[in-house]
Formats: sequence, structure tokens, C-alpha cells
Amino acid sequence: MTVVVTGLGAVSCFGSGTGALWEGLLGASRRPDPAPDVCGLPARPHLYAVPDGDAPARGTGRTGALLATAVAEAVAEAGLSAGDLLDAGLTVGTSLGDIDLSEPGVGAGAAAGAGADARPGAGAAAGTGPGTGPGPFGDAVGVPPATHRVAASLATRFGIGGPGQTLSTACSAGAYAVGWGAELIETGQADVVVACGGDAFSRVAVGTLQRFGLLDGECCRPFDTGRAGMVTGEGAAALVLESAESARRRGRPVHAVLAGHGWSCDAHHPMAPEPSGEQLRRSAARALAGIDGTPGAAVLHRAGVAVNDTVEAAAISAAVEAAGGSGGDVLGYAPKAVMGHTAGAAGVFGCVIAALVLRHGLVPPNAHVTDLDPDCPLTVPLDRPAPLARPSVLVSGTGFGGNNAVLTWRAAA
Amino acid sequence: MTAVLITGVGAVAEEPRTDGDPGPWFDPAAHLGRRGWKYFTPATRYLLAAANEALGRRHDDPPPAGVAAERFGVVTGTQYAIARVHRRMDTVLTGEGVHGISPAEVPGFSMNTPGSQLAISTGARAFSVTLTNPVTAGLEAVQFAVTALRTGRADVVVAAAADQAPEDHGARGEYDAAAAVVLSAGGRASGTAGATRPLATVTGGISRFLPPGPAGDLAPAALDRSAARVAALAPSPGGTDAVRLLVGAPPAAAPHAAAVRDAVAEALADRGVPVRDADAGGTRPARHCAVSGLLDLIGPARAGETALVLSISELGHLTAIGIHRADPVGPEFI
Repeated sequence: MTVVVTGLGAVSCFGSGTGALWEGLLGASRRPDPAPDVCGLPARPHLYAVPDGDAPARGTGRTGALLATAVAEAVAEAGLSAGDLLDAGLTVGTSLGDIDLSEPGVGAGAAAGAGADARPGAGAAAGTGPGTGPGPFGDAVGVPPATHRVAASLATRFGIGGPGQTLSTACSAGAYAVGWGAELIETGQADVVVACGGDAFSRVAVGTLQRFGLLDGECCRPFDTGRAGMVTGEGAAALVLESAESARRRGRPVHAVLAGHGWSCDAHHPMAPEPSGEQLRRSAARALAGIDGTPGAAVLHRAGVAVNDTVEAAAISAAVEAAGGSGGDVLGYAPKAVMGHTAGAAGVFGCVIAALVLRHGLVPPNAHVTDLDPDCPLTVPLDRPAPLARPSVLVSGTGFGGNNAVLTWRAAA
Repeated sequence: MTAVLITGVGAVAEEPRTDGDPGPWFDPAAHLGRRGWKYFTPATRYLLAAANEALGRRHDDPPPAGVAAERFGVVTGTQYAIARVHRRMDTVLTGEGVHGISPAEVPGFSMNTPGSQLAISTGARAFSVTLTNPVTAGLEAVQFAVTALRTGRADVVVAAAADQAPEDHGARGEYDAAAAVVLSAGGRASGTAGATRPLATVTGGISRFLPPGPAGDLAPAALDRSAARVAALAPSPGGTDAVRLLVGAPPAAAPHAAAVRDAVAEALADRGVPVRDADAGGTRPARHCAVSGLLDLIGPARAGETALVLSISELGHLTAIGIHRADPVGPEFI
């Protein structure tokens, strides 16, 4: 069964909307801000923060608010009615959910928009029915922890009554949320699935990434030889996935067609990728089997962590070559340079960006490159947008635990 | 459609104690041997213990034989995997600063780490996915596994769940546990070595979202719609087996769960499917966090009973899994 995209939504450091996202990516200049908390470090770390006005607190934590913004845009663009959503599915990729509700004091600085909701238990304010109450740690009876309630608050807010899962496969959670949403459609469990991902600033996440030496103190620069790690970002992204038959029946325009998706697990190390990239290559090969020829572009997971970046590019290039193409024919793009690593949102952002690349026929230029990584076998657009030679885009997601997911998209016929 | 078989089950669970014994309920050395688990979180240790039991292996055994690593997947439900680690780290960060955090405990701050350690231990390379909806994530793992087996993403999947309850049992009577079931695609895999015969056949799994309204009641139309779909997981009428109906929910959601139970029983009656022990109705308290529904599934699975097992959260998630006694062993199950 063919799965298509009929709605897109995003909120990122560029503000709300896929229009703002695309403009920001084309601008290729965004740098991170100081984080709203010092995170136990000598100085405030960096964060690609969502502007306060674009993270309206509506009775959830900050991630829930970001997800609600992105889902509202995607559902509106897809023209879904309340009736359409009664049996629709909802798949949510998130690493930490509404973690701010468990980090007292976060939000007092740059994230002041969420500050009013950032105290423990604030998630209870708007109420999502019985069971909603003061939050996560020991301050009320009858309430699960706030962190992973974002799916329930979204389903309640939008009236989404069909199958729904929250996927937390670390940094590939968003890619898995999209892949699992497609599985629900392909197996007849839903005709329409809202697949989304979101994560917001977490003091503990940033502190522990720094403890492991995984953060770049300057900015995220995945294609520069001077890269020194990732920089976290906030955001949420959403896709309305739908069977092609459902989209035709509803008369909705199709933004992209899912051509294939592959999953794999390195089963190697809780935090580092398996150096040969064999499992990632295998999932890429399965995704590539759905398209004819070589994809025009690859929206990479590439986050500025040198070992991971190298393994990813080599694995994707090897899969392309095994399918008869050449890595040099693929335009590699690393959006994290200008929007940071958005954790559970990253894979969904990758898919939204793939749809925008297909719509515009352009790949944005890679940002913050002074000295280009000579080891990347893909072609790396710099300075100006590059035309997309073939209407297909690969999206890869990798995460702690060696959780790999690769999707391929093609333009609607 | 691919028949999905349960070929192994395992569980460890803390139960309320009345004897005042303050000692730990779980002895990792007894389950995992003397080495190799020191830096694992409690939820990870529980998960490995339950999954190893289901797979019929010991912790230091090589990966299971009988299935290729690339065709072997893991899916894990949890809601509290990082809760205690997160709180401790936040206290350290805001107090003494980042150098107070031990690198050895950093992996514990990722929801997927228990599942990833299981994948590493068993060499599962088809996928390792972690699901995190409160309460229902354990049964969702079975739904996920059944779907992945039917779409050909794996031939054998361990569907599992693990949680360490908050301190003081979360002030709402929650306890630690892990559970695991081994599922295999009939006709494609014989199950892992050691599985001598299938215990039960899975008819299917579904999830729905049924939020309570402002007064705590469920919208009747949505309830009926969901109940009909759950009832459709029962074997066709005409069989000899009555269906055992097990509905679990946290105590706060008990009225909600009772309404679902009644609606499903009615929908089964409409289909002509008898409910076993119908007079012994009621619902079960889900006291083991996201593991609860999976624990409820294990009894009937082990006994090869025909059953519908439902897990319901306070927030509105509902997951149901149907099983019946194992199909006769055919040549495909060697």
C-alpha cells in the first residue's frame, strides 16, 4: 500500500511554520543562543532555541506545546476534519517528552515563554481529564510522570482516537515514529496517521552530553573539519501520513510519497555506533530498494560528532553504490548546522525537509563550513542552494543504542 | 496472514509485602550471574532477567540460535526507565556541577537503554524500539511486534517491558517488574533454540485512544467503536473456547476500565462469543507500571488459553491483545 504525505508542520529555532523553516534553511546562517540554564557547567552552553512566542504553553510542558503547534499546522494543511481524526493514528517520537516539568527552575531565562509552566506539576493546569494532576515526582496521587504524557495530551487536544504510540529510540525516535506510522497504514490499522516528534531544552540532557564530550562549544558545524560535537536544538515537526487511496478520496494534494524505509540495530554499544556501519548500510539498502536509481539528495542525521558523521556518510554511500549509483551523485545535507540536534524531533524534521526539498527542487546550502570535511563521499552543497537533479530524497536517523532508521521519499507523480 | 506464535514467556515482579522485610526483592546475581550488570539500571536488570527466561538462555550465553541476528528484533515498553537517574543527575548538576556525574551512569539517562542492552546481549539487529506511553507501553510492545512480524521486518521478536517504580511506590501503589514474550512468525522461523513448541497463537493487537470527558465518563460512540474493534480480535464464534477477558488499569482509572470491560463483553456477546467466567467480571489493578498488561498476558499465554487482554491508562490509551491456544504444530514449526 502506498503511503503519502498530505500535511506538514514545524516549529524550530526559526519560529513557527514550514515556511519559516525553509527560509531559515536557505539562509544558512543561524547560530545558537545561550541556553536558559548553566547546566552545571562553567558557562552557559549553546542551544538553538525556539523563540518564546512560538512555544506557547497550553497546559503542557514545553515539548507538548511545541508538538501541538506543529501538529496543528500539519492537520490544517491536510484538511483533516474532526471526523477524519476519530480513527486516525498518532505516532510521537520524543527522547524526553515534557522533561522541563521535572527540572525546577528551567525556563527562567531565555525560555521565559515556558517559564510559567516550567515548575513541577504545572502540566496539570489545563487538565486532560481524570488522572491529570500535579506532576511527576511525588507530589500527587494518581498521576503518571509528566515526561511521556505528550502523546495523550496531543490525542486529547486534537481528538485523535486511533492507534497511538510514543517511540523513544533516542535520537532516531522521529525517524521511527514516521516509519511506524507508515506500518500502521500499510497493515490497515489506520488510513491516516499524524506522525510527529518533539523535544525541548533539558538541563540534564545538555549537562550529560557535555560530560561525555559530545558538545561543540562554538556552533554545530557537521561538514567542517573543526567540528567538535553536536549542539542541541529545540523543536517539533509533524507529518500527516495517509494511504494514497485516502488522499485521493479526500481530494488532497500529495507533498511526497514514501518509497521505502528500513530499520536496524547495531546491537553494539549503548552510546557509540558500530564502526563498520554495516547495520545502517543495511537499513539504507532496504529504503533505497523503493526508488529507481540514485536519490537526488540525502538529509543526513549528521550532527557534528566526527565518528558518527563518518560512519553515516560511508554507510549511505556504500548502500547507494551497491544499488548501482555513486555517492558523489547524492547531495548531502546536514540541517543540524542551523537548527541544532532536536533529538526525538530530528527524524521528523528530516522528513519534513525532504518534502520541502522535493517541493522546491532545491537543496539548501550547508552552513558553517570553513574547511570542508574531505572524507565525505557525498557531494556537499555550499554557499547557495543546489538544484535537485532527481526527485527523490533519503532521510537517515541514528541514535544511542545503534538504533537506525532510513526512509526514502519521492515526488508525487 | 502470517500466524504469530508465542514461543516463550518470562517475568520478574515485585509484589506488595506485608511481612515488613525491607530487603531487596530482586537478586541480580541469581538472574544474571556474578558479573556484567554492575552499571545497568535496575529496570535494565529486570528486563534482561525476564527476557532471558523467555528465551531460555542465561545472561552470559551467546546470542540465541535458531534465528539470524538480522531477523531478530526487540521492542520494549517502559515509562519510568530514566526517572530516578534523571532526578539524581539534576540534583548533582544543580548542586556540585557536571563533574559530579559519573560517565558510567550516563547511558542510564536514555529511555532506550534497557532495550538497547537487551539487543546488545541477544545480538538483535532487526530493530530495537522502545515505547513509552504510560501503562500501556508493555502491551503495545506486543502489538508492535505482531505488526513487524506481519510486515516481514523480523522473524522472531522479543516483546518486553520493564519499569522501576518511583520511590515509595509512587504514592499510588506501583511496583517494579519486567516481563517478556518471544513471538515468532509461523512458517518463517522455528523460534529460538530451546522453544520446543508454541504456547499460544496471537490473533492480533490494537490500540485506541479513549479520553475521559470532563465528567470522567467515556463518549458512548467512541467506546462502542473501540469495543467492537477489540471484540474482533477474539477467535470467530463457533469454536469451543470461551474467551477470558482480562482488563487492567491503574486504580484511578478503574471506573473507566469497567466501562470498557462491559462494552467489550457486550460486543463479544453480539458476535456470539461466550466470555469465560463472565460472572467473575471486574477489572484488575495495574500495579506494575508499563509492565502490567504484559504480566496479565503471560498467564493465559503460558496456559494456552483463549483470552483478550486489555491495558488502559488514566489518560485514555487502550491496548488489547488477543490470543488463543496454539495452532497444531505444523511442519513449519520444527
